[in-house]
Amino acid sequence: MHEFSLARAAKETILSLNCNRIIVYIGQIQQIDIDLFKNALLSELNGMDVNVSFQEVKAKFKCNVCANEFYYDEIDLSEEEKEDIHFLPESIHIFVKCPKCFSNDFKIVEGRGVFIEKCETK
Amino acid sequence: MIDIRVEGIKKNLENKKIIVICGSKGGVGKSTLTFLLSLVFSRFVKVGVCDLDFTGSSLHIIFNSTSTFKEEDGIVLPEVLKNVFLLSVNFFSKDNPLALRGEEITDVFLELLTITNWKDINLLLFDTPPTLTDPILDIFRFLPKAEFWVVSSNSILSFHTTLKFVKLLKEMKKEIPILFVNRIFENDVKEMDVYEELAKNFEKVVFVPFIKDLESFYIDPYKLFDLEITLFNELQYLFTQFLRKEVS
Repeated sequence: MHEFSLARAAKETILSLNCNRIIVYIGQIQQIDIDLFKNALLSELNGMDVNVSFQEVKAKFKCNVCANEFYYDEIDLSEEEKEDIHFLPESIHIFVKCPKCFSNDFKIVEGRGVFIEKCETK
Repeated sequence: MIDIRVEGIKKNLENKKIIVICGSKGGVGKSTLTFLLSLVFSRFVKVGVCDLDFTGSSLHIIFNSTSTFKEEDGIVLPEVLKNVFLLSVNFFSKDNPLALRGEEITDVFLELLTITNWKDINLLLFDTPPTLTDPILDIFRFLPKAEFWVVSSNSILSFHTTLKFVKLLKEMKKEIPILFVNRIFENDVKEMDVYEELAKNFEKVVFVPFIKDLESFYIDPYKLFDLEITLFNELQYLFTQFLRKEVS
């Protein structure tokens, strides 16, 4: 599962920051198995003095043509389409159009990627 | 907020030798050359071929491959030829058009290179879109040790634009040991001052001959070795002289 590769990347980031308290923000569009990712990351951090909490960020889009804003939860996707987006979120431009003007020129403004925030440095 | 993929990509590629096949113009033969290099180099080592032309990906066509990845601790690349493993955005776009703006291209770059399980593939060839676009800038930013092998056609237009491209690579203090000149036109480069000015920036210049009906070899590329051309000996020389010690 590629949750493990993301967990390793998160671990390397935490190591580089020398933190002892962090929040991991997980973008909804990634459709990551949150429990799997959490367990993988905590396993990678085994023995380290780091307090980790997790928060999911809802995915939101904004059309570059008409400025309409819409949400991932409003979109109807097949399982195959969700799978492709799970690995490569930008492939959403193939499957989704702005519900107002039907353009596929929109921006993912929130809920993409895995980020680390609120680090308390040791 | 800190993107985990930046450290992820650094760790994931830390011991890999990365060669960026680049050029300033479209149609000069970057993808073809990537294909030919992988064909020769794979006789010695495992080669990862990455199609960084995300909106115009074509390597899966050249390799005549409909294979896709497996999921095992990241994405495991399909072996499209013996010892050649392909990473392509087409695994996900499936021949659908994928229009991307600047930041999105960087997102795709970081995502694919973070989640790919390279296993024991130590030599990576990156095929890039033409000109100084986001993938090249992302390589400058995230993969500072990458080496650039430059491709031009044998036309004055291509030489002039390549010269500008090379100027930037040198300003960025990038390794640019090799220039490939694809003999697409019936021009004699010795009559071109701009070629001489360009060539002196490189340790080695390789002239790539016009290969008639090249696309017919996509089905069985090993038949290319039956052609009586010196190119493959030259490409083998490049591996021996420039890469063998670093990747074996």
